[in-house]
Amino acid sequence: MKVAALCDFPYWEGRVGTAVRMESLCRSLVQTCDLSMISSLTMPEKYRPAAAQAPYDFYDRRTLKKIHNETPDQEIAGVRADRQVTVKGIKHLVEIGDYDAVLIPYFNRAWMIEHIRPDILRIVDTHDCQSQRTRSFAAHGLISTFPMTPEEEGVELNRYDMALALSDEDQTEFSAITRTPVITAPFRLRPKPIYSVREAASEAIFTAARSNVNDMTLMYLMEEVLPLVTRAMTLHVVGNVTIPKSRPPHIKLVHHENVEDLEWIYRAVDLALNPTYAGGGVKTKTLEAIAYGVPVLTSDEGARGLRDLLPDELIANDKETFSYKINDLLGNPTRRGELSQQMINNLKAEDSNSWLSAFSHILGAQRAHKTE
Amino acid sequence: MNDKTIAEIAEEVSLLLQLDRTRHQVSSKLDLAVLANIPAHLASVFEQANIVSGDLTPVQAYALINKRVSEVQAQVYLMRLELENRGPHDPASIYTDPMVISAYGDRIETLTAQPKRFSFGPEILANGWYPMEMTEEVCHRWMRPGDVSIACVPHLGTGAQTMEIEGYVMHEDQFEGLSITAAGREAVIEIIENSGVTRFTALLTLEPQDVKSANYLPVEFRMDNCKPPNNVDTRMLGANIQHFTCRSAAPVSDAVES
Repeated sequence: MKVAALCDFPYWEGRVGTAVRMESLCRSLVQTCDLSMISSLTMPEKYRPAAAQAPYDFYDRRTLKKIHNETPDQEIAGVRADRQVTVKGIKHLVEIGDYDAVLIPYFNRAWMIEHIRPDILRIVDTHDCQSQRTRSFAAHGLISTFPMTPEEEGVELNRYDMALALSDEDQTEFSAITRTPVITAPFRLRPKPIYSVREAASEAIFTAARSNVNDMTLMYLMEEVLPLVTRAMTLHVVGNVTIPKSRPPHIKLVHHENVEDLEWIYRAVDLALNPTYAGGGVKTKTLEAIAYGVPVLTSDEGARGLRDLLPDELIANDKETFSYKINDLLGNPTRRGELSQQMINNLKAEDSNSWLSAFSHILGAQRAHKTE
Repeated sequence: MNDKTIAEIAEEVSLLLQLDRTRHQVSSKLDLAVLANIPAHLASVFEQANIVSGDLTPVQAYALINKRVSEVQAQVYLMRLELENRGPHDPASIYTDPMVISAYGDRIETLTAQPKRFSFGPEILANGWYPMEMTEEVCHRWMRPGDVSIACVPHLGTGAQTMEIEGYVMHEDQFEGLSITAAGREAVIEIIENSGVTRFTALLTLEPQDVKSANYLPVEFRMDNCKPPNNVDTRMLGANIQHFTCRSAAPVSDAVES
């Protein structure tokens, strides 16, 4: 099967979750299909040597522009002028190259594939279940960026021949609202254990970019959870999340902004905290802490899609238990060391590519259906 | 009982609730029928176990009792939260801890309790088969010669279940060359009728892990002995498959509860 993965963001920088996800997904897909990556952006020179080593063919805007310039009389009617190069280039590459399927990251990139031949399969990487996220936000008086009802999301999913979910939880949500095959293609990072167990532990990390839900989570941590923690501790807040004005007297807050590499901060902390209670999708910050082997105390929501990697002990769903566990874990170096090892072992033992067999069979069946 | 002991108990119970939510082993729903008459319920559990297996091992007995104890503990935990969070001026506002609202406010069902039965129609995604045919309003398909014929079947969700497959081969000697597998598990195939054609049922017993990758389960059919059915129809045919039936492996009472 020949599959083209499309993107319109600089995934090669690997800075945001979406980019890391794209790269990780492509590295899995090459194990079962003949994969190409087509980017609507031009890859800067400094990333090209690494891209040349990637196990898939890569085309960026330079190729799309070349196609555009060579076919000036083949403009696609109804396409915005600023998208003409991308839409035309992708259509040309995919149709001439006899691809069986195209994959887009999320519904809002549908414009990239609207004009390709209908017999070519459409796959969407969903990232989030938006109707679940909408429901979760609404429970706390928030409105999500892409609000959707289950019915609306079902209609969107039905436009595709296959959908990829990031977690089993999302797959279950989707399965209730669409007939489109949904496959859980988990989002994982390679283990990079750096955790060192210290006897006198007092440092914790909370990572978040600014958003309504992240601002709310940090506020909750500072105002509801940490006042119940009895020991003095330092909270390292990483990212441009809004810092609450007040803080408990026994908590020292250190704010890190514009940090490119978080490794040195993860090396310096004893515990990661993610008491998030609204939202959806897989939380990169939880996954990152697991990959570093830093015990991460979180909730059901924070552990979405990662539950099999986290020991039960690291989950709490109310502020009393959450604060109790912070106290308990900071005071118990042996247990922290065991939990760190357990997380890394779970990550190493997990067969995160076991979905590829189902992917391959279902894609083959959908292809057969189109060509019958 | 001091604060530390209470906190430790709360932690243990909280842990049980995680198991409840994420693995669906324990329900925290109030079961009023049970609470109204606990001795009768315990008696019914033992009776049911005896009906199912004819004998109850100590391990099974402990599992049943532990499950009920866990349910009670979960309810105690929820009551504690309710008491601690009930607003003094607004009794309707039970939970004020937003993390609790999120965790226990809504649940998604991961397993459909009702069986699902399909004929081999368009809802089954297939590869390696002759086109769909219809006889007496039942859709069915014949395997084509090839390495494998795939049928992707919508299952009940992430939970233990069985899938029964009904079909037949035209020539009895083809039966020996038929194998049906899914998620690395071999189906148990039994002949149910052998007059004219050889009818069979194949049973796949599936664990949650086997069905978790996708909402469709790819089932692999292999046949090393495809033959034409008669002198008129020269197609090389493998087995003909007509029906797929998925049933939850959970006991009926639990399935209804979930």
